[in-house]
Amino acid sequence: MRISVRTAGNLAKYLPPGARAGQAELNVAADTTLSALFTLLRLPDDRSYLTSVNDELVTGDAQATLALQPGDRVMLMPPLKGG
Amino acid sequence: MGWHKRALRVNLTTRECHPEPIPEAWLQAYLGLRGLATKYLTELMDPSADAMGPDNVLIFATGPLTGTMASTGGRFGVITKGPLTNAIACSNSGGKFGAELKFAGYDLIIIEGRAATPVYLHIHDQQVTLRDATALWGHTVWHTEEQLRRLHQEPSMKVASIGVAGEQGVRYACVVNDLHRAAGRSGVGAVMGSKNLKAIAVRGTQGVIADDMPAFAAAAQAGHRQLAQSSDRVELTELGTNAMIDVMQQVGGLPTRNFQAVQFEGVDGINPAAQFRRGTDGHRNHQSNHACFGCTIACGRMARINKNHFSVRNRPEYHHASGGLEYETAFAFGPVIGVDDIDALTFAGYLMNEHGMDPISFGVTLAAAMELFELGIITTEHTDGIELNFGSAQALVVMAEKTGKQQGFGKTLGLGSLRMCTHFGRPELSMSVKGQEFAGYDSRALQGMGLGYATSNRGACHLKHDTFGPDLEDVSPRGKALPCKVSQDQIAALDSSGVCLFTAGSWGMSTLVEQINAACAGNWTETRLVELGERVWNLERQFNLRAGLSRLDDTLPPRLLHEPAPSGIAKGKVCELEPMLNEYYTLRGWDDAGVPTAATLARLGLT
Repeated sequence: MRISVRTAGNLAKYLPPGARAGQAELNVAADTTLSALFTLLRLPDDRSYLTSVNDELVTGDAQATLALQPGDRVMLMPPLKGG
Repeated sequence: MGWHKRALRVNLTTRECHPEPIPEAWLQAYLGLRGLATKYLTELMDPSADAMGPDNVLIFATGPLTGTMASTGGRFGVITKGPLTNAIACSNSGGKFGAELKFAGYDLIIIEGRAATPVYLHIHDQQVTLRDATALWGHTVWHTEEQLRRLHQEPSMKVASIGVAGEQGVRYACVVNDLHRAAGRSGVGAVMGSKNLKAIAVRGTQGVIADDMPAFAAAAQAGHRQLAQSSDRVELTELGTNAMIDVMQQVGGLPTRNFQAVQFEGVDGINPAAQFRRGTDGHRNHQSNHACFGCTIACGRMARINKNHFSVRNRPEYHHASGGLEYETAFAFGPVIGVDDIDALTFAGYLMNEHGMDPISFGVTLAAAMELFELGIITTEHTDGIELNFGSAQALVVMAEKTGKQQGFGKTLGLGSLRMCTHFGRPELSMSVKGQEFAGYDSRALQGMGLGYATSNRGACHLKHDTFGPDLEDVSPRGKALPCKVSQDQIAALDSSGVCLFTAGSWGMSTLVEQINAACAGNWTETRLVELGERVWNLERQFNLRAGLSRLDDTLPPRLLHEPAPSGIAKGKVCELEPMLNEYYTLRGWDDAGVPTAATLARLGLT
C-alpha cells in the first residue's frame, strides 16, 4: 500500500533517494505499524520519535500497534526541546 | 574552587568601584549566576522600587562553571528588576563575555545608582575604572564594540553594551555581547540605559581553578563525550534551534497572526530547509555554525542576506554574514506576524542585535499592532503611513528599524505589547504574561507550557521549565503540574551553574552534578542541587510578591483561555490553566494566594 511520509528536523536523511523537501511517497506492506516504519527507514533505535497520522498524534504503545492504512499521511518528528 | 569568591561593587552615583568577598554561606546556598545574583538583589534593593530608577540594582553574574573546560561553560546572566514586567528579570547569555569576566577575577558585578552622564565600565583584571561614554551614546551596539576595542587597542577585549533602544528605555531592550549574543529578555538593557551605563568592557588574564582539578577534568571530559554522542546535540548542531518550527507547525502549536491561528501556511519559506536553500534564488541563507565559549554544540547560525533584497539593497553595511535565524527569531518575525520572507526575517534579526532589542517581545508587539491595525483601531495616521497588515515584510523591516532608533511609531512599539494595547483600549490583544510576550509555543496545544508561562517569575518564558515531553504525549492538562514544578527547580539550579540549558537533554542532572562537585567544595549531590533550585525559585517568588505581584498575575490572555485552537492536535481546545495552577501551588507548598507557606520557607532556609 502507498503512504506519504513527511519529516521534521534532521530526519529527512532517512527517507529513500528521490525524497524532496523532507517528504516521500512510500510503498509499504499492508498493516505496517509506525514502529515497523521506523525499522524500515533505519531510524536510530536509541531515541523515541513523535509521530502523527493524518494530523492525530500517535504516542507510546500505539506506535507499535496502530496499523497504517492506504493513503495515510505520516509525520515523523524528533523529540526536540526548547529553542 | 570554581568560584573566585569575589564580587565587584560599582556605585555609578559616587563613581566608586571596589571588590568584596562573597559570603561562603551564600555560595553554598545559591551556587552562582541566577541563584547568587537573586540573593544579592533581594538583600540590596526594595523590590517595589522603580525598575528604571537609581534604586534598582543591576547584576552581571557568572557561575562556578563559567570559564571552565565544562562544555558550554561560558554563560553569564543579567539579573535586575525588569521594566517590562516590574518583576524579577533574569536574562541569560552565551558568547565569550561571561568567561572573560571570570578570567578578570570576578564572579559578579553589582551595579548601583545612576551616573550623571554616560559612562562605560572598563575592567582589566584588578584595574577597574568608570570612563566617559559621551562619544558612544547614541550609537549602535556594533559601533560601540568596535570603538571600545580600537580605543583600548585590545582586540581580545569582550564587550557587553546597549544600543539606542536601551538608552531610550525600550521596555524590552537587551544587553548584547560579542555582537550576536544577548541577555535578551525582560528589558535588562533598558535598566542599563536608565543608569547611563553604555557598556562593560572586560579583559581578564587569570584562570579559573577547580577544587579538584583531576576530578574536574575527568568529569568535564565525560560531559563532552556524552554530548558528542547525543542525538539531541546532533539535531542542534545540524539544524539549530529552528528545527523546532516544523515540529510546531505539524503539532499545531506555532502561534500565527497574533495567536489567532496555530499553523502557518508560509512555514516552508523560513524553516531549516529554506535556511540551507533560499526559495527566492536557491542560495544559502545559512553560512556557518557559531559556538559560544567552550561550547561543543554550536547551535548558533551565521547567515547572509540576498544583496538584492529590498531590505539591504544599496546598504552594503548589511551584506556581511551575521547572526542568523534561531527558532524564536523565526517565530517572532515569521508566523506570529504572518511573514514568510526569509531575507526580511534575517535582516530584522540583524537589527535586533545591532540596536539591542529582544526579538520575541518586538515581534509579538508588532503582531498585536497588526491586529489593532486590521481591526481599524489604529490607522496609517498612527503608523507613519505604513500599512501594518499581517504578512507585510515591508512593515517588519521598517518598524524594526524605527523601534531600534526610537523614531515615529517605533516609540509606541517600544512600550511592549501590554502597554501599547492598553493605550489603545484593547489590553486583551497583548499575548503576554506579567507584561512579557510569549515565545513561539501555543499553550492550547502545549498545556504544560501554558502553566510554565503563567508561573514563570520573569513573565512568559519557555526557558524556565521543560514540559515538552509530557505536552507532546498528551494534549490535556492532566499530569502537567508536577513536571512543570520539578523542571523549574532543575533549571533554576542549572541556570546557577554557568552552563547552557541545551546540555540538559543530554546530561540530565547527574553529569552536571559531577562537574559542580569537582569544581566547587561542598559535597554536591543531585538532591542538594535540586533543592537549591527550589530555593532560588521561591526567593524569586518572594521578590515578586514584595514588588506587588500576586496570583492574579499568574494567568494567560483571554484568547488562550477562551478561544479554541482552530486546527492541529488541539483543535477545539483551550488552555485549561486553573486546575493545573491549583495543583501546582499545592506541589510548591504555597497557599491559595500563591504565597509560600511558613513551612515551605523554613524547609528551604528562607526565613
